[in-house]
Amino acid sequence: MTLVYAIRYFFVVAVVPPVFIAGFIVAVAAAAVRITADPTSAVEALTPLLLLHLFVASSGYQIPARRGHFDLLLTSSTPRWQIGLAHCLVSIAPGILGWLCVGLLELAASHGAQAKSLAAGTCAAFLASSFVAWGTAVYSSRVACAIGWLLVMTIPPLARWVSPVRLLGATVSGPARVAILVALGAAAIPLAAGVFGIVRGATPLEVSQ
Amino acid sequence: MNDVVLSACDVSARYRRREVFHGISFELCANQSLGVIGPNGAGKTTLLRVIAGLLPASGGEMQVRGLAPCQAVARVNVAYFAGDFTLPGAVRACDWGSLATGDALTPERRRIRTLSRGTRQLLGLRTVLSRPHPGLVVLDEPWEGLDVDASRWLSRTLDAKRDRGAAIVLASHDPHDLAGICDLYLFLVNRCGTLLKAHELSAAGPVTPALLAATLERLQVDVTAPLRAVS
Repeated sequence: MTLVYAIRYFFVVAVVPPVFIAGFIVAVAAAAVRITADPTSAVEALTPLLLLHLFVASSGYQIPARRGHFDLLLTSSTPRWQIGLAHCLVSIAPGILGWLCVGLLELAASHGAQAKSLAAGTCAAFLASSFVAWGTAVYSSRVACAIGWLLVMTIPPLARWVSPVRLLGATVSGPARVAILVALGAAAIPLAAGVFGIVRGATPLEVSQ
Repeated sequence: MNDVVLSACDVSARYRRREVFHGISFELCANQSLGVIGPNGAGKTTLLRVIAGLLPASGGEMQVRGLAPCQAVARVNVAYFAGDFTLPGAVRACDWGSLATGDALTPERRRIRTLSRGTRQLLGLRTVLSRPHPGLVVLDEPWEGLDVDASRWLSRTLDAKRDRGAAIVLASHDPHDLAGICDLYLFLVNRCGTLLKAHELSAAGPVTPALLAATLERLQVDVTAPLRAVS
C-alpha cells in the first residue's frame, strides 16, 4: 500500500466531485476562447480559474473522515503522511492541470512571445492558494471554506492584502517580488498543518460521539 | 504458547469532557475472538476505533502486536469495518470493491447509496475481509442488515480467518449475534468493562443468547454486584 494506492483511493471516493471537474472544463474552455481572441488577456482569463481552484482545493478532510469514508485507507498500511499528501494532490490536481492548460494555450496563441500564465506571480498564486485552501479545509468543511473565501475576496481591505488574484501575471523582478516570496512561504504553514492534522488527528465517528 | 495480538491495559476513552468508558483491560491471542457487547451508546464503536488506531485512548495502553494501534496498522494487516453507513454513497459498488486488493469483488455498477442496506453491508464486509491474511479483524455490528445466506457467509469467513491465525473483535448490542462464537466476552455497561471467558459464563456448554442477555441485564442493574454463576 503506497502513495499511489492513496491517490487511487481518493479518486474513487471522489474528493473532487465530477461537477467541479465540469466547472474546470468550462473555465478552461472560456479562458481558451479569450486567449485565442486576445493573447494579452491571460490574467483576466485565469482569474475565474483561480477562484474556482480556491473553492475546489478546499476539499475538506475531517468531515468525510468522521463519516468513516476513509476508514479503509486509514487502516491500510499506507503511512498517514502519504495519505495527507495524496489527499492534497488529488484536491489540487484539477486546478493545477487547468492552469497549465491555459499556460500552454497562451504560449501557443502568442507564438511563444508571452507567458503571463507561467510568470512567477501566477505560479505563486496557484501554488499558494492550493496549499492554503487545502490546508485550512483539512480542519473544516468545504462550505465553511467557501464562505471564508467569499469574504476574503469581497471585503476590499482584506482582498487587497490576501487575495491571490493580485499576484497573477506579476514577475519576480517587479515590486511584487516580496509578495510572491511571502505567499510561497506562508503557504507552507497550512500545508504542514494539514498533513500534521491528518497524521496526528483522531478520527472519531460522527455517530458515536 | 500465548501469541498475544491485542492487549488493553486500563484503557479509557473520552470525547472532550464526556467519558465514554474507563478501565478496559484484556488480552486477545491469535486464533481467538472477543465479543464486545453492550447497550446502545455504551462505547462499543469508540472502543473498536481505538483498537483500529483511528482514535487515541485518553488513558491506559492499547497495543497491537506490541505497538500502538496507529503504528501497528502499517505492519499488522487490520480488517476494520464500522457499518454500511461509513461507505461513501456516491461511489460505484464495483469501484469500492476493488479498493482492498485491486481485484473486482462485484460487477455491480450502481452507486452505493442506491443499494439496499444489506447489500451495502455485505459490500463493505467483503471488501475489508478480502484483504489477504489479516492479523486482526475488527467488525462493528457486522450482522446488521444481512440476510440468512450473507450471515452464513460471514460466520464461515470469520471462522476461516480465525483458523488461519487472526484475532477477531466483534461488537454487537444483540446477544444473538455473538452467542456461542466468541472465546471472550467484554460487557460494556455504565462506562465500565467486564471481561468474562466463555467457559466462565457457561461451564456446561455453549454460551447462549439468553445467558448473554441475562448477564448483560444483571450488569446493567448493578455494576458493583459480584457476578454469580448464571444457571
